[in-house]
Amino acid sequence: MSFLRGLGRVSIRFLQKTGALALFFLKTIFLALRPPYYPREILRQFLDIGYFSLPVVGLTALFSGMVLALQSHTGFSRFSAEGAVATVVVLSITRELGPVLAGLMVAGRVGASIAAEVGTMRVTEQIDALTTLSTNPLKYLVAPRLLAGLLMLPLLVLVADIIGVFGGYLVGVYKLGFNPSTYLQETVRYLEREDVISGLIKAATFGVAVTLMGSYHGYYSKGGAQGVGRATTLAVVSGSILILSLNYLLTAILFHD
Amino acid sequence: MTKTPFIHLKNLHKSFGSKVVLKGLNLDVKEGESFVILGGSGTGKSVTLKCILGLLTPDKGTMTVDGVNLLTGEPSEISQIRDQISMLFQGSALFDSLPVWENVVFKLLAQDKIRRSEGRSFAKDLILQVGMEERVLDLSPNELSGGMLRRVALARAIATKPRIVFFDEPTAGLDPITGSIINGLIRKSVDHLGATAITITHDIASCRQIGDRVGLLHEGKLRWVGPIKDMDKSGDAAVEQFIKGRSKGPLTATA
Repeated sequence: MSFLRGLGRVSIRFLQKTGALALFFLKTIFLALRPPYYPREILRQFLDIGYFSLPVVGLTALFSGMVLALQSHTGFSRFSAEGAVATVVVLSITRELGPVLAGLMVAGRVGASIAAEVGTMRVTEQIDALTTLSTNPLKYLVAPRLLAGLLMLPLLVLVADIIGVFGGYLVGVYKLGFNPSTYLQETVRYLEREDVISGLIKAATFGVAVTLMGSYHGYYSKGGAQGVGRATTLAVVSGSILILSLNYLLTAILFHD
Repeated sequence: MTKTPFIHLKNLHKSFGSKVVLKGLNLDVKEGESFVILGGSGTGKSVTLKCILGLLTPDKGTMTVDGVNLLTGEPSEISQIRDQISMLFQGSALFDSLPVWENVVFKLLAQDKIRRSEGRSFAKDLILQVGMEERVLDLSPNELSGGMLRRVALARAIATKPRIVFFDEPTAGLDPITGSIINGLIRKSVDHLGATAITITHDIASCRQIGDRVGLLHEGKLRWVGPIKDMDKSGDAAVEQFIKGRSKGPLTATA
């Protein structure tokens, strides 16, 4: 009986949290569509989430592309299919690794920073101050971050795709001895527009997921510095899990035959 | 000054889980009056202000400001009333991401009452009013001392010429001299605006300098209310204990 009671309690708590998160998200969307808008705050978030994430996302993509070329060459050489390396690299990067790795890196960098910033604003009463200054905190703090996540992640992933493919090219040509023009031809031969677009759709979804988790956990943080620390951890962990589970869901939807 | 209560709280209750904070609080503040709520830590002083501001919702009771019921009134009337209230927060609550001048005129910019190009010069006048130099305008709040933060927060609180101003522990964490300067600025600003003020504090010196009337909050209710000048001869054991800072008496530390 106590096991069932515990299970019930956990289930109710999970549903309550999910409901609260959904309400938080819908309320923000509803507010974001009505004026006033905060262009300066939106621009600041675009820079913070997009531009300043470029180095970490770019490096991750570069090394992932390089490792992918090496690994696939090692594997494919066992059944004389080395020629497929370029195709495997470009499809893996655009469909899966680009959006997922960029999403996870942004979850670590941006999700944590949003939770810490918004959480500190909560515990130092800056969010209460916003309300007393006739400014809705969801509209001023959360909506620009969600918008930046939605629009910046696809751009980051587009850059990550190019850098990742370039990483594979470097290893393919300079280490594995592929002919440069053959490698490039193989890269584009089987690549379809849907491969890139599906990755960008995933990126936009992950961008919203990461900024939503950071904002939500920061917004409801309590208990001083310890509470902000907890919010930061929760933002990164829940953002990462959400990315991985949404990735499966989106792959199943986008690539079903 | 009119004699009708401008701010009227009746039988206000607020609990957080099993912790009961307000237990039927009654409070009347006249228009243009400076009222001080005295009380120890954790007695519900901040909760009272946050209920009026709409940051918390009371479990029971009535809150009326200028005749508008803040719990059952028309939403547009309620937001009009709340728009006329400013607050100086205990930790100043300035926005770290903005320079001092933008903090000061934040609400004016948010409501499009001034243009962005006018903001700096508007903020300069207010900063000079609270005894600071022009050079602080472009500094970030994290470059300011505690006293300076409080001055900037005061400038922000009076920027919109509010009819009602709340001060949450305005001298907490300040040395007595800086505290006295801040108290003087608060009194001057409130008198200049002709605003109604509620200050919550546990600082007796602050209370004497800022207030017209005072109430002692104890066990979720105002235990004694009277003019500041009568505080020393209130005849109430709790007020006497609080003023003299004695550990023995009807008041016990709650936090």
